[in-house]
Amino acid sequence: MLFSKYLNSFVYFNLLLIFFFSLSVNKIESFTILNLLSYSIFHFIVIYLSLYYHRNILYFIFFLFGLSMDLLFMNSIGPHLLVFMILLFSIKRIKKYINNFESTKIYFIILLIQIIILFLEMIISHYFYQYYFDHILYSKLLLISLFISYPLLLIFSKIDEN
Amino acid sequence: MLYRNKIKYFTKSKNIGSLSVSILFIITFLLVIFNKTDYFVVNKVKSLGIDIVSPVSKVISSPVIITSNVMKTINDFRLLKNENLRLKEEVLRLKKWQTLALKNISENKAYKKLLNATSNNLNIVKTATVIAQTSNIYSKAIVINAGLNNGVVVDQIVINEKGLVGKIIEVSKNNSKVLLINDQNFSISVKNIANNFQAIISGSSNDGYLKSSFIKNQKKPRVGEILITSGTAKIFPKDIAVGKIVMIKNEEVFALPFVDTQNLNFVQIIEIK
Repeated sequence: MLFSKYLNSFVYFNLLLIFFFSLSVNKIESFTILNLLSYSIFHFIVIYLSLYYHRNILYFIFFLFGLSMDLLFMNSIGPHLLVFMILLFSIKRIKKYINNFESTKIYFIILLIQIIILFLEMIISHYFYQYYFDHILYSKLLLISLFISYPLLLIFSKIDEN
Repeated sequence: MLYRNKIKYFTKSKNIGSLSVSILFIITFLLVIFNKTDYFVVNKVKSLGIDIVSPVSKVISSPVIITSNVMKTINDFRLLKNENLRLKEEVLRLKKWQTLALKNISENKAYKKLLNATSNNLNIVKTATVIAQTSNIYSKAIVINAGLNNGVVVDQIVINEKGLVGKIIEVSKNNSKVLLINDQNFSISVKNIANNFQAIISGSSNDGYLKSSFIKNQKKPRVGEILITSGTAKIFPKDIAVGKIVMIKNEEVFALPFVDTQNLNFVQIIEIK
């Protein structure tokens, strides 16, 4: 194939990032759950990339996605941008300890990070820009994350093998 | 020698990498601070964001959106027979209202002539098409294809044939972002037609309803009453249809907006003359 030599797993993850970003910001009338699902998957990819594909270009990629997400979701800059940048920075610091853990532990750590970043985004948007902290929405996102986390991480590891 | 050392330092990829990461962090914090202080640079970034990211994301998600629309259409076909019966009944009911409305229009015209009144104080700035609708995760907003080039400015009112849609919150050259009436950060002063009830209502966490956040003199309206803009804050023109009261619970009034925020295609941007 023409582009096959450029298509490695890092590129695949970035393409997935673009796709799920687009799905989460555009309203899908008949299946609104798809928006939440895409939003949740997008965050999982962000965590997975920071954990397993850490490189400096990711700061720029996350900067663009964080900024775009803030602009399209709330017309203010802050919550997503700050959380993504700080997440990447923090994971770089703790990565060496996480890598020694067994896979089950890493799975729970990824899930925990997902729960924390979703909470941080909502709490920052609440205190910075007076967006209502929607408990129902947060619970929905947690439930979706819980359900999709395991199959999603299995798919991610399959992509890794490419 | 010093110059050559400097070049050597910067060409080491690790140094360039850490330097660019630091710059990105600085830009991030500056953007957040500028956004809080409403600095003009942020407005440029916002309008650029609407102009570039919104259409690109729309194109990428279009296969999924088209598929979901096709599935919805197929589902609608199944319900066509029942829908047809319901619509026939509605047509009969509306015909009665039409007769009454035509009579009222001619009466109104006659009264206006008698009073020499000029009641139309609204100016239509532009009729626009909805080009994107954001998901409801944080805010409820739409992007329309009218911007600064069409005379649209922030805080102008957006309506459609059913009533109030929302207000402009961000404008770029060719596009604008509209905060919808059912968003929690949207507040509006309303009254009933009899003018004995005034309140401020805003969107609620429940997608479909508008909820009162303040009721003047704690007066209670009746379920079924129609709410229109009161025009007291001088931001919104008065007498624009907003919604219908459907529930009164724990001193709070819940209304259903007339505008179907899920299905918006064309809107009008208006201003007070």
